[in-house]
Amino acid sequence: MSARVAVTGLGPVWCGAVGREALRSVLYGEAGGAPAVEVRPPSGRNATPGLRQMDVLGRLAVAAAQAALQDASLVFGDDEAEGVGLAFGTSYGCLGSNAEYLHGIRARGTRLGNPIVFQNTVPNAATGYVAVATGIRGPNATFAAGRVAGAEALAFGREQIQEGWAFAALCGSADQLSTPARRILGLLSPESAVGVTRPFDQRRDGIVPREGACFVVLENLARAEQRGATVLAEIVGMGQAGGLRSDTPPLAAAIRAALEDAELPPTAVDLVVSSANGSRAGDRHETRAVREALERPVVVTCPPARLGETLGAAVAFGLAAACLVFAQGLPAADPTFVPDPDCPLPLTTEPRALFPQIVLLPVAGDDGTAHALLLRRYRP
Amino acid sequence: MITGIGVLTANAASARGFADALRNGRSGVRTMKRFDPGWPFREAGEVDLVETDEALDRVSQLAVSAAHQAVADAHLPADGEWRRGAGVFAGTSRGPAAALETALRCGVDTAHPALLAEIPFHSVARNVAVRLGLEGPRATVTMACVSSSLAVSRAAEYMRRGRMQIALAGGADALTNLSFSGFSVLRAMTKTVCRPFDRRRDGMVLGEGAGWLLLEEADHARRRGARIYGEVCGWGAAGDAYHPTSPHPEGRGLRQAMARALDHAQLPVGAVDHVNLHGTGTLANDAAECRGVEALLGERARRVPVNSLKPMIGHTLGAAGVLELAGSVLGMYEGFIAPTLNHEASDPACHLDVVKGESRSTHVDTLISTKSAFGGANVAIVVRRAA
Repeated sequence: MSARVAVTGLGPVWCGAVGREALRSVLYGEAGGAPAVEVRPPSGRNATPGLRQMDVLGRLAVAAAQAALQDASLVFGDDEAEGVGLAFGTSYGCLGSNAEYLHGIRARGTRLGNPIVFQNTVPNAATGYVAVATGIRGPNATFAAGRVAGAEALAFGREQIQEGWAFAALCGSADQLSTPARRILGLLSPESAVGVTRPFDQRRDGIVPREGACFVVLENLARAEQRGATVLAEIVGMGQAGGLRSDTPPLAAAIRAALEDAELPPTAVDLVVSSANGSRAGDRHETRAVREALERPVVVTCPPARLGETLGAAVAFGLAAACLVFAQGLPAADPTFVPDPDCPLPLTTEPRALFPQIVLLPVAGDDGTAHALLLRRYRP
Repeated sequence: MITGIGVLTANAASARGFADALRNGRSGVRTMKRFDPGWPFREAGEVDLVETDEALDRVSQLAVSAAHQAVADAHLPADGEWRRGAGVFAGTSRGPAAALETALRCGVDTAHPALLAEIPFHSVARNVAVRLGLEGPRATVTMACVSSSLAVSRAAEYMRRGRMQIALAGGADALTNLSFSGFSVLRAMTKTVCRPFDRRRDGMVLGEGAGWLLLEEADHARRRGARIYGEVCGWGAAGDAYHPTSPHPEGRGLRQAMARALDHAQLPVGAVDHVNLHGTGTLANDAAECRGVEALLGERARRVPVNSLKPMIGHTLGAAGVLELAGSVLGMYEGFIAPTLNHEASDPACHLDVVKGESRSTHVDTLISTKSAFGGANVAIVVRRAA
């Protein structure tokens, strides 16, 4: 029988705010958007050897990873390090470092490339930095897979624990808003002209991209209970589906696959934590897919309304938001929300003392794929 | 089960051609033609590919071409119903780096949208899926030199969990200015020839290529009477957590990855008949690999034949895992182990049985293929002869 998988730590990093409380105040308070801010873990001469050369992506990932481990109070010795897995997902990865290196050799010649920048030109450089910073030596994986990259990372980490190959896994995502990444993103989803994310709103006019990172700690539930960890949620199902059209990813199929994995009927879901980002077509597509898969309207909350489009980190932020909902109920949506008749989802406009049992996190990719995740409220 | 193999390398344009080249020790490494890398050493394993599809970056063209081959090699109809649930699990280290290079040269703000759409790493898997009509699960692994190895293991795990019955698993990487310049400034490149585990080794030689394994659930393969090259029966991954670019000197993560893979396959260490190593030809990698393998195999280390295919095809980065696994599986299927070209005298610190000179005719039941990467990633895959 597969081991049960618990969520025991959250490490969100968003616009300079680090940690669970910072995320809570953003989602439940009145904090608005802020310009992207570089997060700088210790670097330079005093940094751990091997971490001095981190690029922005690496710094975001390390900050979020360390925050998650701290939040989980997960400490492991050298003899246990091989039992902790590591999985990292990123939408566009290290395009910033790739561009920096290429600009450099164009300007100075191919023999004068910067070796420090070069070592950051693979997406798993960030994973390597996290490993060095945390000492994790278990199974590790890196996925550069667009918006679903974070889901891929969570799936990998979950499987390691289910199969007993790891007792814990640090899983997460980060994305840097480099110039090429922003330009590519603009092709897929136009940016909002007014700089406001309004998922499912009739007035929505595009996305607001944000840099960010979010790692979560997954643990074997029995072991987490044994060490007295705070269990924030349990992952009970994951599913994915592939398709050939990037504008209509098979989200309904992914949701059904997750329900099948969890052995739950559609009626079990009582909250959707959406990753809709304010794109006109994307929000409409998600609405239809969720209604088709769940066969009825279900209450929706949408973290990107506060966080913006965090790319590969969207699903990890969504998972973190779901854990906060389990703890204290739903946050309110924008009170000025004007529902789009094409997106008839019951988006909350007032705080609710809703305490869901099963939460669905759907995420549509930008390449024709889709993922879905199911969380269950933890009861000792 | 592995029921189809498609490869494009410097020394072959098909699985049959690859097996023949490996058996005969035929190297594809030569002076580069496609571009001037700007360094005195300009040898590489360049694929003889005429780029005909302007809509795709070179790496996607390599990948799509090899994918078609794998499907044909498996004797599956190109337009068959099997495609509805078929997955694509791709590994790439650099992805469409050429497209990024072009976009930066002409200005990202004014680059054509079609060019920009090619830049994301996951465009390779997308392009293979769309061009072949594969509508199943999809993943893009980007872990430098272990990318396609992990992609194969992910596909096998999905299949084991019953999420799909058939998939293409593999990857691709193309030679680019970025790679050539970067590995050269890191001083990782040889000035002579790539000679893994040799006492005179001085570095690696780059290559490019694409490779795919057509993986099929066992019953599905047997029902249609598919030829079975071998069974992917175990996989393992582990990290060094040591340094961003250098491996752990004792091959700690590699040993752990191999041990996990054998444990996953429920096979003892004594079952291993052949180890296909990463064998880049660099001082650090080869030394660490030797120690890691010796630590795992113990006294058997001197008797289990090992090899590296990189002198023949170059270091194909993200594609190395699948290409070298495919080469090893073809060897197992046809009864030989390919030689490690240019290896003449082993490093005194390396006590492995390196197959050198000519290919070795031998019966292999169980092989393990290992790869290691920047960031301290290590992946091992166990394949056994199908019953």
